[in-house]
Amino acid sequence: MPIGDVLPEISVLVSAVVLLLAASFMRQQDHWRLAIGALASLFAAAVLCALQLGEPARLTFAGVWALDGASIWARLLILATTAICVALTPEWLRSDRRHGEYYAMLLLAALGAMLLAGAADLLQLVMAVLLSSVTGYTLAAYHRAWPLSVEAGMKYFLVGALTNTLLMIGVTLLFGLFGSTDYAQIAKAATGAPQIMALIGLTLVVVGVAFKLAAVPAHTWMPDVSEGAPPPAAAFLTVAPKIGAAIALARLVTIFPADVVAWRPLVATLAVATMTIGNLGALGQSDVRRLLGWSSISQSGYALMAVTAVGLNAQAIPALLFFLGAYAAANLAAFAAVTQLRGRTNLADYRGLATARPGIAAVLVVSFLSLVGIPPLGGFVGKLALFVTTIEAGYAWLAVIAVINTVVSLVYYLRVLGPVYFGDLDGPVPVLGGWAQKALYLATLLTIGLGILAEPLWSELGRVMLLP
Amino acid sequence: MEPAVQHTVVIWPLILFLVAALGLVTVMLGLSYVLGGRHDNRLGNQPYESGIKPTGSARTKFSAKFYLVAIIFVLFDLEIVFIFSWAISARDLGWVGYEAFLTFLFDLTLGFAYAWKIGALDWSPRAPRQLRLDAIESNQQRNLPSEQTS
Amino acid sequence: MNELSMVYGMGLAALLFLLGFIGVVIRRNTLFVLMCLEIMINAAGLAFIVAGARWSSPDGNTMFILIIAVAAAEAAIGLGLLLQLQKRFRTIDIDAASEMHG
Repeated sequence: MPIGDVLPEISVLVSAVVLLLAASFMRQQDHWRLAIGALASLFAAAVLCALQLGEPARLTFAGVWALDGASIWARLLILATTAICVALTPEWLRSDRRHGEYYAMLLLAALGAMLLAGAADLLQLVMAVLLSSVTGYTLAAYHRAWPLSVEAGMKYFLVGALTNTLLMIGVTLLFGLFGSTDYAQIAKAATGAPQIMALIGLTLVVVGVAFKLAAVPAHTWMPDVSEGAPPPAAAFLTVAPKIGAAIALARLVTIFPADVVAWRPLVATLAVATMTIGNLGALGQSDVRRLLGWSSISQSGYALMAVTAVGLNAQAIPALLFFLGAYAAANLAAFAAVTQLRGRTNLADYRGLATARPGIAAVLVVSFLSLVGIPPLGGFVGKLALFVTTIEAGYAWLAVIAVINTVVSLVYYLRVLGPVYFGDLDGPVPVLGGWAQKALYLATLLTIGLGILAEPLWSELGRVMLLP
Repeated sequence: MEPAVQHTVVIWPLILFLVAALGLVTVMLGLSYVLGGRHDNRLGNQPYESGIKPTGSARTKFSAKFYLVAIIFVLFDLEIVFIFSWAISARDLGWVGYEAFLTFLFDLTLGFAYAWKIGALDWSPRAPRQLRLDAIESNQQRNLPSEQTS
Repeated sequence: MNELSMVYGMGLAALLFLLGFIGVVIRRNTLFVLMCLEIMINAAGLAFIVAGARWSSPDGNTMFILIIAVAAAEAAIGLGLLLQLQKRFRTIDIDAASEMHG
């Protein structure tokens, strides 16, 4: 077996287990040291992953594991995201009795997201979704003594368990129809006349993956998790599984010829619904963390635009990857700011933040403007690439709706930024400091850097391909 | 084989089982009805003819600790299924399969060690003496110049 | 496997799935929702076995083993969350224990 092809995953898995055991043998005060271990293992995995970039794109492990540009870049993104989330954690969980196990859980969740990005077999897809979900519930409910966190975990669990079951049923249907769970085999078998059963099966699978993407119709957990989960965990859950799920979805739908299974209208509809519902939900929010959750849903809608265009335009996958990278950096910066502010979430509490903490206020501005897509930030390049790709693929109406949604989104981002700069400060603004602060500025630098250094990155991503 | 014949072949044990199960229940209930004594007096219908009358509900709460043990049992129990699927084809899988099996067992052991270490397997609350010692220790720690950076 | 038992198997799976789904949708008690989810997962497992038998492929059985292991893990987490929910909210009614809206 070509063990070398999954070395990054193995290293993440082994270090997760080692961290878990180490946490149970260490004193609670020393658990922050495990964060260093987690960062080291993530770095090692990233190096191993980057080494695969030079190799030709191929399917390994009897066709269940795709090693192509899309999966490698997505996994690098996930590893970087996880590293920033690890750095956000030590101060936040310092008094938690189970501090050390958090890192093990985070690494396992990252592993699930990585498996999603490389899945080229329906069984592999199910495994990846389940691993990433089961660890996600734990992360969301990590503040066991805080009711909202438990509630977020429970709601996440209920939506997740339901959609995971739908996913399994969908996989069963596809397996029953085509006699194989392998993407390449299904692609061979799926020919000829339109098949209604295949469409139903695919729809169920798409709903299962949409849960990880926080897309309609499985989006309801996202606002609750982003409000109730510990902010470092929310930062992770709003970003990392999405990266994996977007690539997994793109890889999944392209195996079906569009004339056998009409998946393009399906994904386009989901894209429109997701971005619109996300934006409408965010409009009236007076809770910043909840607002970020809704905005994260609408960002998933934009990502789905690229999935619609996959196969029609060679630039779709690079555009998707770039958009995901820019989104990850901006969203991480926003949640890092919330973490740094010790999780303050009420919009009224953000009044006058700019006078007390100008640095954090600036970070909020950068991240929100990047989420809207204002040049020269990373989000601008990502969205531009998405819109151009979608229009060239013949889905101009989709791009128009996305532009309208983007303009609407400006309103609620400004509703936060307005009080930050023009409100009156009441009371002191305590911050977390330490590692969280470094992670905050790193994410912000990445947001700006992705915009300024877009060109070399883009030409690198342009060579990316998607198997099978 | 004819489909109809096949069906009778498949189904008769089921019918036999059903008849046997129903028959057993009927025999047990019927025999005790016929042979058992009857008490029609009022006292005889009370739960205990002598002693104390029952108080309170039967639905008492019991420690959630047992759920934890049960959950861990279910999780480890299910892993046997994987060992089964290895066992039935152990000969064909050869040494590679054996190594995979050992790796699997090793992973299970790691999980077990973790569950043990964090005290998930402690059936009862810790011994009172240990609790006292812990209390003394934590008091001492609290009185020391604070080690914790806060 | 002949056509008849295939229909039976799939029909049973569909029935179980429907029962579980109805339970998930109308039950408000989280414990019962968990049970119904288990029923749905088992329906998926049964459907997998039937589909595997249809193609004479071991994938169905493999997936079933995987599914029960996963269902156990999911149930463990669900029950853990349930205990915490009961501890924090003194109820396991999912609507009563809902403080976040909007």
